[in-house]
Amino acid sequence: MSGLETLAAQAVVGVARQAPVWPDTGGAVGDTLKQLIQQRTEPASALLGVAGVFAVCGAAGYRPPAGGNPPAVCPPESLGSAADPALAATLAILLAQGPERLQAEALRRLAKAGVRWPERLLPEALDLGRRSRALRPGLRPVLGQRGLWLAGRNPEWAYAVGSGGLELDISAWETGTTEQRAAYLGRCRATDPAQGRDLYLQALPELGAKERAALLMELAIGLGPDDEAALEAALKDRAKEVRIAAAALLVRLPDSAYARRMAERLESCLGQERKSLRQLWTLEPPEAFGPDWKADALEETPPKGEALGQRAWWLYQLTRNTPLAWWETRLELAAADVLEWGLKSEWRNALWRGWLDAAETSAAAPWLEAFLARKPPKGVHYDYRRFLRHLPPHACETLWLDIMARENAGAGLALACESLPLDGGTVSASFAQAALGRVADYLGRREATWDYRLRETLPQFACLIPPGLFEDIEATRPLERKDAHPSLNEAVARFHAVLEHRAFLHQHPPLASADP
Amino acid sequence: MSLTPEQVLQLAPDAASAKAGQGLAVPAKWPTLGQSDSALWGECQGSGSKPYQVQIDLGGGPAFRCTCPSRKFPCKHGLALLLLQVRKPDAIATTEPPAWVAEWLASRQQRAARQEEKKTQAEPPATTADPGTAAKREAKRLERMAAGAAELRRWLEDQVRQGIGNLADPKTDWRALAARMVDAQAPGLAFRVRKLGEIAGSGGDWPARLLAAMGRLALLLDAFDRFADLPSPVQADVRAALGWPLDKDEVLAQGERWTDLWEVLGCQIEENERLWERRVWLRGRESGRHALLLDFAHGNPVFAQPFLVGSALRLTLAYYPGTRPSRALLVAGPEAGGSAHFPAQTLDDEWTALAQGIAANPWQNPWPLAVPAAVPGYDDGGWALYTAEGGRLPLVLAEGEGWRLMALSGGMPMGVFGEWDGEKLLPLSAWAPELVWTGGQR
Repeated sequence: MSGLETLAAQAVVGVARQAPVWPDTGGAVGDTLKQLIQQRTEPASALLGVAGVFAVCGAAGYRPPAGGNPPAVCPPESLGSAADPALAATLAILLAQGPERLQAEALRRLAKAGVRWPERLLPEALDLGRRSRALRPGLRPVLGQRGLWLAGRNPEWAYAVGSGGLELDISAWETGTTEQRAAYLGRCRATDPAQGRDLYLQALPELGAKERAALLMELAIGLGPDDEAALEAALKDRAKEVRIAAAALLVRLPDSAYARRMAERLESCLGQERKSLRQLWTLEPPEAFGPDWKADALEETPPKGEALGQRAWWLYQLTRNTPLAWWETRLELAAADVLEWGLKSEWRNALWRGWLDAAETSAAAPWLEAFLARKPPKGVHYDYRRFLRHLPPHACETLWLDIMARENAGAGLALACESLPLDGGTVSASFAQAALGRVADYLGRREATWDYRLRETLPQFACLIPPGLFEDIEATRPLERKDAHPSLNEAVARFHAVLEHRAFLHQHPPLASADP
Repeated sequence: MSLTPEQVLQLAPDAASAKAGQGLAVPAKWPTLGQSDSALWGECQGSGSKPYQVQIDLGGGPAFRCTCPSRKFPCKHGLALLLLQVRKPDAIATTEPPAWVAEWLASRQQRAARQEEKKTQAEPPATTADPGTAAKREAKRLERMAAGAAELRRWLEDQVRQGIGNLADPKTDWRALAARMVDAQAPGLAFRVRKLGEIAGSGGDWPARLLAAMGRLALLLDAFDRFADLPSPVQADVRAALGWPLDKDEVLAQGERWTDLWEVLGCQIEENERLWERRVWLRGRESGRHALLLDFAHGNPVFAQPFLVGSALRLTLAYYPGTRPSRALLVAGPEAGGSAHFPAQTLDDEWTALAQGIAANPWQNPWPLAVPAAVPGYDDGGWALYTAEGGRLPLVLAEGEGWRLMALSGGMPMGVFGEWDGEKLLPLSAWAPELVWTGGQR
């Protein structure tokens, strides 16, 4: 115990209760203390004096105590440095202000140029990755040794250390949740479909119905004729959801026995009639529910609330579970014409709904585009947003422009930003120009004033513009309008700020070399 | 003087202004921009119909002016403009200043000339006050302070008699006692009483720390009892500790003058009940002497002379009197002198200097401390510096800044300058070997 602590223990009790016992330090300090204690007869005053001497001497003689483990030295870097002040400043701003898409692009540009994130900004970057899962894959390659070293010292940043689940880790399959197992199975199927199938089949006996269905859907990745037997077996599953999932997968194998059976059933509904010199195809739903249909995951009674009648319900299911190609070959019509033909039928709702489902599960882009170009029959509703991920870029862009015209500019741009993944590159130059033209018109209108979505979306949209247009947009400034509301002007300024940052990321020396 | 973006952000009155300034530092927000040798100007579109006119006088330290209604100084527009120029100096066209800039620059020059004139006229200082009344006033104040000191001594002794354990009681009325010390015209004592209140009951070893602070306070009261017998430098130290410093005019007239190339090693700004205190720590490159420039501002942290950590300036200072003078006033300058270097002393020398400083004036706090070659890190005891000698020095650091300091060091030793309060170091700058980090801005 130090002298001061001995004294403090006595002072806590109070010298009125207990006469002080003076610590003996010896040396020059001890002499001073002895003198002081002799001079002061009042114990309280003496104790304060002694404490003062101890405090001052202790402060003057302070040396840091030994101990603690300094952190190990960070290994040398292999990536280039982003210490260039202008680059570091730009990174600091976009780190603080976003939008996320711009942050992702900055990370991508750094990685491509083999440059690491500046040390000074590592805590914020690691925090950003902690909050945004989407940015993590882009962040890892630019953290450098310093970033990994730092992340290893803070449990909150543990996600950045190690593989982070990017590689196959069998423990995710053995001990993970259903989603983790499904993700593992999906990755496994992508590299080795047969191995993935075996994994699934081995696990089957111990799985619940929900898990069986969830894992079965992962077989969609790398689906091939070899999977047919396993899927046929799943058609006999106890659980309805598993049977439906198996049927949906079997449809995607055009040569499967299942697909052939379904086509045969439809075949018997098809007829022909002659009308003014032309043979026309006609269609009548089945008269009765076949005895072997149930085994193929078809249902006899429509669920409660179903708008289709019983026979239409059977037709809808047959349509849904038949490969779309069958219609094209059998009717000798293109997708768009099949749809037109269906519209003329009395059973158009059952047909359209069946085709929509089939087009979505098989990601048939020409069919989806054909749907988008037509007005669906009354009573058929679908969410075109669900199509987006299956559509080729030009078709998406047409859809976005369409929504900008039909709903408003903010809705169309927001959809564009939502549907393109963070690492999804840019839109086409012609779309960018057309969209900016529409926004420019729209900004002058009254309703734009309260389109909060447009204000949020404009800076994000700036991240989707192809670099070739930067100069042109900077020079012409198509969105600037004197008559627009100040809040919109603010959004336009942010739009240009993002473009400026992007131009910088594409032109600044260490990053410009990243382009081929 | 050419600034770095980090140095510009050091000028920001708070973190929000720094962030807003960074956001505005894009040419898109500036319809007009221009610069000349000594000035920088631009128009920034705000929410109003008219753009704000922003101008910066670059002669000496940067001086800002903006037509926006913000009470902050410099405002975000000024910071953004300076940031733009610092980042891409060539992107701003060099032209003749427009009328609104030229007028302001001219008025600033006139004002500077007037002040210079005033200074030469004012010397020697006019002693208008009658020495007799001044002495009378001084005697009166000493009497009041003595009464306050006596009361405080009685109170301290009572506590030690009855047991300082009671002081952890949150009902202890520290404020009332501190207020009585203010009434006794001894704000230094009031400050120390409030500090006692902060120590009592907080932290495991609080009785020992509290008793140490009480002992040191009693030592100050002892010194004040013998005030008349003390040599005059010690008198000056005691007066400063009691919160009765000399008038600035007296310091400028009598204080020891020292001209040097002063390296700005640290700058700390703190707020207490809307009173902002700025401590700028300087070390003379030629003399190795320390100096502390202490400034106060009410309401907003607006200080006339900016000091950027990492710069070196040629200044003439006048020291407040004392046994080992530290606090000083700016007399002349600054002339730009380039970049600062971290002091070359060993840690052992630093501790020795510290011991001598405490021996000379035991009431000064905090002390400047330059720790060479230490590795920042984090352990169960919190943030710490691990010195080359194997010691562990506790740090006071905000979470985010601790990680930043660590990221910058990468486990390699760096020089750290800060304020040492006897228990913990508040780091204000880190060097490896050039300045890489500044802290302490609130």
